[in-house]
Amino acid sequence: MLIITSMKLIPGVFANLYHYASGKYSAKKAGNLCLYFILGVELLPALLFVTSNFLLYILSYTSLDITSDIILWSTAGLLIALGIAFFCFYFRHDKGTKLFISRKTALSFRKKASLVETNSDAFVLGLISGIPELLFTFPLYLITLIEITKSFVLPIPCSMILILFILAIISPLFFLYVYFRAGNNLADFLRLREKNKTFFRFFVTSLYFLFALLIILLKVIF
Amino acid sequence: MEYFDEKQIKKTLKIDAKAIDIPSGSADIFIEKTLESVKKQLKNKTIITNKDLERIIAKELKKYNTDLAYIYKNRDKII
Repeated sequence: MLIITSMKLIPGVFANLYHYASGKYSAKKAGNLCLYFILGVELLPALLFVTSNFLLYILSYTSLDITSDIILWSTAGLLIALGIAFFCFYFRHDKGTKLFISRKTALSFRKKASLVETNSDAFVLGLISGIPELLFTFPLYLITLIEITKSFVLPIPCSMILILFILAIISPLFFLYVYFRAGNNLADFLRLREKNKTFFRFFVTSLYFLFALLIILLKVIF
Repeated sequence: MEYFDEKQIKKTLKIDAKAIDIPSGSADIFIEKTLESVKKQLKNKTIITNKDLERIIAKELKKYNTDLAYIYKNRDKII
């Protein structure tokens, strides 16, 4: 969850949306657009969990055992590979916090954020903002779903955990909204991102490695 | 290739200025002064790249408001 909340594309699009909406419309309308953007963002993890659940359902009819050693070691290997890929490729190697996505896509997102007029535009923008990062996040949804459904020590129902997970994913956007409403602007946000770029790179890579280690340790212990 | 569209640049800068809570009156004044200064610098040029134009505008804007200049210069580097 920490890895997903640390991704930079959705907050970047949100920051652009807030900036242009505040510049063109009233504070109330800008707030509404931000809210619908957040609702759009929230729909994507829900859809991804449903997709992951469907994939697991199909796998349950095959002879493939998802708790087998080979699957777990492959998962750990995948997480380590994603961690290395994140460190090397997530941010481009020049000034600013430009991401790995193509420039055309990035400019397209910025343009879409600047042209948002209605709540439905904001909702759709929120929904599609997380798609380019699925390379880094979809395996996490799948693994999280497997771990939650297979876990036997939790007193809380799985459905409640999933709902909490989905709500937690959008928490950075609420913090960002409060950050902007507290008097900070896009320039402050950009400077903060650029200042902490290296730290985030190391932090998220470490999280990927830790997650991989946790899967290995859980397999070894249990 | 496109023509230098002063109105579009002015509109963009006004939106950016409003977004970062610069009073509209003072924003209008320094945006006008910035664009006058930019036009003087471009007087002898028939063609200029977008990057050079952005750099010149950001440099002139920096004299009046550093945040606005920073946003204008780095708006393509957020995502």
